[in-house]
Amino acid sequence: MSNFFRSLRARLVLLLLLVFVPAAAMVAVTYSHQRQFMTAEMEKTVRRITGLVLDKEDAVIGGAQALVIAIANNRYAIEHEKKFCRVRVEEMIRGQTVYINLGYVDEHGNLDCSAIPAPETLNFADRQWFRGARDSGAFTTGEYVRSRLTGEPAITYGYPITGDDGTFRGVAYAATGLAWLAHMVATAELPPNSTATVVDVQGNVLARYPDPEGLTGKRMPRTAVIELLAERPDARVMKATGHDGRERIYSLAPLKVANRDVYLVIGLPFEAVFGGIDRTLRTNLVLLALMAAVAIGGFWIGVDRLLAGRIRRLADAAARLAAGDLSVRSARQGGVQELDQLARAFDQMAQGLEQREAERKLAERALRDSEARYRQLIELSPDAVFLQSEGNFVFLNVVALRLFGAEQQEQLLGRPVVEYIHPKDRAAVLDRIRILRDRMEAVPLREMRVLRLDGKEVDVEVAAAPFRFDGRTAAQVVARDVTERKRAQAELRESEERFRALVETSPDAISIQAEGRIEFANNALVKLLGAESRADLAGRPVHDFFHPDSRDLILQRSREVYQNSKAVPPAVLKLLRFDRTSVEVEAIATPITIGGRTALMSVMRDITERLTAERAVQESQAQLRGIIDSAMDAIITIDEDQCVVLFNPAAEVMFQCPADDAVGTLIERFIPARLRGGHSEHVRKFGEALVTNRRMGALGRVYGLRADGSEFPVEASISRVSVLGHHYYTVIMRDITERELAEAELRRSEASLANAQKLAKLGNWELDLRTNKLYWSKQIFEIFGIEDRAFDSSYEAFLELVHPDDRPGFEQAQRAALAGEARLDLEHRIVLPDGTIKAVHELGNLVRDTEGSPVQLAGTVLDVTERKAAQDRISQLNASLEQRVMERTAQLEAANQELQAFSYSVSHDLRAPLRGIDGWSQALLEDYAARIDQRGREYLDRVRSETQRMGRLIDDLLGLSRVTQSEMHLANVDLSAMALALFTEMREHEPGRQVECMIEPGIVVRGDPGLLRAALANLLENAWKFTGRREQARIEFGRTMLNEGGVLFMRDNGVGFDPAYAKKLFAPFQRMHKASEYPGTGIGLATVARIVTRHGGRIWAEAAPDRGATFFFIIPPAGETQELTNL
Amino acid sequence: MNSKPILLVEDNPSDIALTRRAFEKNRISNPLVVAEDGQEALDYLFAAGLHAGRNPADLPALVLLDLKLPRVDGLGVLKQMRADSRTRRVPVVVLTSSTEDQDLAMSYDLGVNSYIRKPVSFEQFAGVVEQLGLYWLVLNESPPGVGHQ
Repeated sequence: MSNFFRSLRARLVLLLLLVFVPAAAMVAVTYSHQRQFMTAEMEKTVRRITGLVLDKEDAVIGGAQALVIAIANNRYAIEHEKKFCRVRVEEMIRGQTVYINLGYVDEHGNLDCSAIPAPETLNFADRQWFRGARDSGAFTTGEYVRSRLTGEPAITYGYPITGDDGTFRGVAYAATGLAWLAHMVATAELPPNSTATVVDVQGNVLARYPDPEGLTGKRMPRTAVIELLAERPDARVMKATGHDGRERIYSLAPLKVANRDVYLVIGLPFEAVFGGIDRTLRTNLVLLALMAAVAIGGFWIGVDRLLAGRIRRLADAAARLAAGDLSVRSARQGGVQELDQLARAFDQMAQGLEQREAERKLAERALRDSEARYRQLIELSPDAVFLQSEGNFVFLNVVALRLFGAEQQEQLLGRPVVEYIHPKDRAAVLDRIRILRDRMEAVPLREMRVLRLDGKEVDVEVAAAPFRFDGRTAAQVVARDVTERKRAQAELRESEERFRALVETSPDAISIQAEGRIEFANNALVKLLGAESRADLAGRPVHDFFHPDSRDLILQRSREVYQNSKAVPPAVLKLLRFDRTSVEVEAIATPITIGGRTALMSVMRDITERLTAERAVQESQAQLRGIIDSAMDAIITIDEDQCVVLFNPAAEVMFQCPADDAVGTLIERFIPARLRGGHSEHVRKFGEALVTNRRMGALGRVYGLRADGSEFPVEASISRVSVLGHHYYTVIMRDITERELAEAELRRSEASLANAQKLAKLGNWELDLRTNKLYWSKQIFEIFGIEDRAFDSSYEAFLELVHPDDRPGFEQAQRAALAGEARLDLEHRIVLPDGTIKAVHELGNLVRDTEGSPVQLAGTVLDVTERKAAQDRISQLNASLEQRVMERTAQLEAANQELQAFSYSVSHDLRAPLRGIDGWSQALLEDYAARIDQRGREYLDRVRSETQRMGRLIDDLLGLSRVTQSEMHLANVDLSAMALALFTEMREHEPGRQVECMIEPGIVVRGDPGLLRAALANLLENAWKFTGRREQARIEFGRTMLNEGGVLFMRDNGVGFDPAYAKKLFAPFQRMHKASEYPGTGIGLATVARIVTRHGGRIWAEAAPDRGATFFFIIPPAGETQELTNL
Repeated sequence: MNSKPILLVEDNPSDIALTRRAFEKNRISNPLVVAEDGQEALDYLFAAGLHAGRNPADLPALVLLDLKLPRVDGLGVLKQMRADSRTRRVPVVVLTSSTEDQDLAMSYDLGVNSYIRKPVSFEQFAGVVEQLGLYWLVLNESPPGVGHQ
């Protein structure tokens, strides 16, 4: 059994069965869901019917109530027509199912009226509906009981009938059956064989549908349903067998009928509810089982066909292969893919084995053939071939025997190879043998020497490779006699050396070029082209070095060489050097065969220098000609016979003689007659002396003679050249007439400059920046107190003279001047050799040449010792002056403060006693009036008026001092507007006066508004006061032009004054009039004058007695105002 | 016219007498309290020193203040009065001989109610006192906390 389950087939089947588990589970789940759904549906149906029943019951009770009340109210009508009562109530219930009976009973419960015929006496006094209605006097529901008239179960409702006096006269009743219940269930569309029963807990059937057995009103047989009901009254759905033997699903719903707990039990046949889904479940399970059976069967067979058979066949094939049948194959297409792969892999393996076997056999045969061929080949080889194993000869071919000088193999077989190797090569050979043996690697070609049996040495080239020989590790060695080759090579080398030396040492440049590139270049070429080494040239394209001017020519020549295979004649070519300068060469080119190729060999000679030299000669000659022709100096060449051979244009001008005229004549004609003898002697001596030239001026002062006979001083130089054995003398002359004049002028100028410097104590100097040479004018030496010649005038020497404290400053200024940052301008001290200290002022400028580079520092030195001394005295004076000013200012400030304190005190303390004097005088006048006579009162009045005058004086004095002391705040002030306002004020103050006032508008000045207002007010008050006695007073304020410009004035036509006193007018306390006539303190005009002067202006007056007065004043316009304090 | 005192701060006995006389002539019946220097005036106002024990809430209806005073000068008194919440609203009239602009400016800067220059003439002075009495004691509504309490 366990074997069975271990088989692949059984396991696969089990696996398959697993597939059906979820399907079966799904069927079960679906069934369960359907059951639940159906149960819920049934409950819903029962609830619906229950609802309907309850509604209907309510309607029934309502209807019964209405009926019994109606009957009770109609009692008398019924009573009077008692016989009709039955008929009437019968009509009321006829044709409907709800009411069984209607009527009423009397107060004793005896039936009086009934819709159903009844026996004569029937008492209902024991019924609940009667008792309830009687006792409560209200509508009453009775019990569910069997009707005494019909025997049907019924519920009776009662309502009391009362007489007119309110006494109880009976009960109207209505009996209802439950037939409506059965009817309702019947119409509820229940499946066939359903039952609906209304039953109480005791099992009494109140209604039943259908009721074939007539169980209504009876006790239900004790069926399962009833038992269940008794046990579990809260159960809702249950499955039970009805008493008719049918299985049903019962659903219960509680009801209240006639105040009793009853149940509506609806039984649906099981078949109707769950029959459908049970059938479906069964069908599903059967189908599932069938499917499983078919699947397992199919699988069982399929697995056998697809797998097991194939696997068995593979196993068989493998067994045959193992047995040696290499041709066995197992592949058969169309099976399971994986098994096919396995089978194919097996077949490939078998095929591979078969093939390899066949190849092995072929190879063995080939090997045998190859060995035979190899032996033959070795015997025929022109090279010596031998085999060695463990370093000993094991085989040698004929050539090898010959190489080692042996006649037979036996002479060498078994002998160590190294013995026949030159001792110098033995170590290497042993090494090679080791490599061959240990690494089984071939060793490369190597030259060595072998020792022949006869003791000769032979140069050989040897290569070896590992080899198997008779199953042993061996090596095959191939050796070639290279003695002959080496000799040839040595010869070739020598030949090449010689050739190379030739080429390398050649002063001419040699190149070999092929295919447009340089292949070889000698040292001369490297030098010619300016390369660093040959490597720079090798491989370079030749055209890199072609100068564009020669390019075409070079290419053409190359073509000729290649085409004609012969040399081309020399030609001058231009080449480009590495630094891109050009070089001119004379070149030949010839074909040359190297390694089978035709190359081109060029030989080049640098001819640049030669050409340059030739050109230079030509140029120099042209230049010389140009120089001679354009020279400022006269140039004359004479031959040994004193004949002129060259006479340049300058000479033509100088001697006023055309060259054509001069050439060929004797030089004598250009020399004053008195000097001619000396001259020819001179020339002769020069010629004899072995001096070739003499500098200008070296000949001393000479004179020339013009064609017109006039003489002139010249400076001359002479030189001699010999051409082809003949001497020629060339004289160069310069007319120095003007220079001599200029020199005289210069001398005079210098003398006057020196004089000027002496007077100004000013020296000038020049410092040559290239030579550091310092030039000093004579005056500087004097300033510095230095003997002319004793002083080495250099900058350093000068610096020694500068006062040590001033040196750093001077050097800094000097550096700045040299850097061109600032001009030299400083004062410093110098220490004279005798120790005197002087102050000098240096000024200097940097002088630049035409290219802008500084060449000279030039400047002056001014002796400022005396000036400095004067300056020092002045600054000392200034310092003490400042000190004095400060002292005075402090004193002045103190005085000012005192004055301020004084005026404050005056304003305060001086007025208080006055007030006392006045006050107490008044008190005396008032309180003691009776005791003082008229004269006493007059005196007291006088005391009072004097005190008040004193008060005014004090006030005016204070005002004046304030004018002096207050600070000025400048602003633009419209004096016209101010005067008008003041005038208006006065007019209001004294409205009785007739005063004509003329004010020029637009007079604006700059000044302190407060002070100007005070000044204007004083002037105006003055005018007002002194015109007091005029019938027609006139006051004028305006501006007039006098000779000094704009002047302001205040004019009145008042009493005026004597101009003799005009000057006193502006002093304080000066009065021109009697106080009794014109009261006043005499301070007003003093105040005005101070204000005007504080504004930097001026005031004056013009007047005549009784003819009015004019006050002129000037307030300078803005900008000119200078505050002049304390004036 | 209320009966609160008037504080006269004045060191000149003649002026005190004249002022008293001017008050009498003008039938100003308020008691005249005289402080002869600034410190005394402050002592009176703040119930300190000699005046300790006085009810400081009892403030004068008006303070007539001279500027040039011994110890604490008039501007000092004014400054302290205006700095203290109790006396800040008491009307102060500077009554002085000085006509220095700076005194006038300082007084107003410190919050004086009037600045009156003592005239030399007693008649004018009496006129001034009458005006003062009329304005500050009759017409002017005292600020709360001063005068009517």
